[in-house]
Amino acid sequence: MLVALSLTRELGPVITALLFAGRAGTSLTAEIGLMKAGEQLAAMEVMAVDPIRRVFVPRFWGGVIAMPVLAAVFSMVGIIGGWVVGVLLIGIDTGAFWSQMQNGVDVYNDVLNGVIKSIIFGVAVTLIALYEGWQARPTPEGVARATTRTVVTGSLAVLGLDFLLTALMFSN
Amino acid sequence: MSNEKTDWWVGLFILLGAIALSFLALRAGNLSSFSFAPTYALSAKFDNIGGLKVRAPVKSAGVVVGRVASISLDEKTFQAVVTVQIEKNYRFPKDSSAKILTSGLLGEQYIGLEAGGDDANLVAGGTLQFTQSAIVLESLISQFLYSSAEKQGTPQGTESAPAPKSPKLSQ
Repeated sequence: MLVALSLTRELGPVITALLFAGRAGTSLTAEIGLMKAGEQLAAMEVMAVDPIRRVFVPRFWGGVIAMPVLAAVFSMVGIIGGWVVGVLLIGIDTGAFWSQMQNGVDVYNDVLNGVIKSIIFGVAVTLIALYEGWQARPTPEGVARATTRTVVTGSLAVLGLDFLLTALMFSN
Repeated sequence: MSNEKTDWWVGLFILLGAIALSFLALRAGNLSSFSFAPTYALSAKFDNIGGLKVRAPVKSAGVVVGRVASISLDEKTFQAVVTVQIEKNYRFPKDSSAKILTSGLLGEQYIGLEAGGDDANLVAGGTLQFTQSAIVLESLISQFLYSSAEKQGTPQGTESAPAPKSPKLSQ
């Protein structure tokens, strides 16, 4: 029960968002930074193609959609891992394991809030990654710095937002 | 191009996400214990509801027959008004009583319904007349402490406390 609660509420969204910032956020920043360094964005503007529309918006939505899916998969795998350890290795009764979990976890309070959290994290991390890529100095060094900043700012934003959201959602 | 392949992987990814969400909702969460059977509302007033929460189960003889719908405070009597939704196929006599019980020693609290003997049944919107409040552990402990202190106080008070009144008590 503790496994499920902590996974759906906190660990699932937060760790997924941190990994997401590290894996997808950096690649977004690096890609856009390189596009800027290679003057691809400028070329698009010259050709009257809006780079925001063509480059940023699809990446933003991709990140926002992928985050809750990843977080849900994370939680599921975590719970199944808890089941393997608890039931197969330690020998807790399967029925007791699931019924305890179902007693403790509320669909709306815990699962839905976890999903909402992960969507918000997705928005935050993707926006930060895109912004850092957009603001990167168009040199190899600038792109490298922007990538680092994406991870740092993204992780801090996730942790800060998590604190706020937890206080908002689970305070009553 | 490998565009079709990418689409395939994206579909698989979303499918996996959908499976994970439904797993969380059905297996780990308690969506499966929701019943969509029609319900009717009853209300009951308690002096103290302890740690009762909305959506706590209502049990009769251990069987879940409904859930707590809302909890509020009556401003005139300063009692807690608890509204419960009982499933339609369970009917209870008019003089049934409601108790707030705890599953296990420190577990979550639920409402226990005890059927009475009246011929007429409670109808939707009816009120449970006989209620028993939650047992608050702190007040139980303080009662116990006070009573044991009283017991101790009378015979032994003279020895430990040389108060001015004590000579009279010692005999």
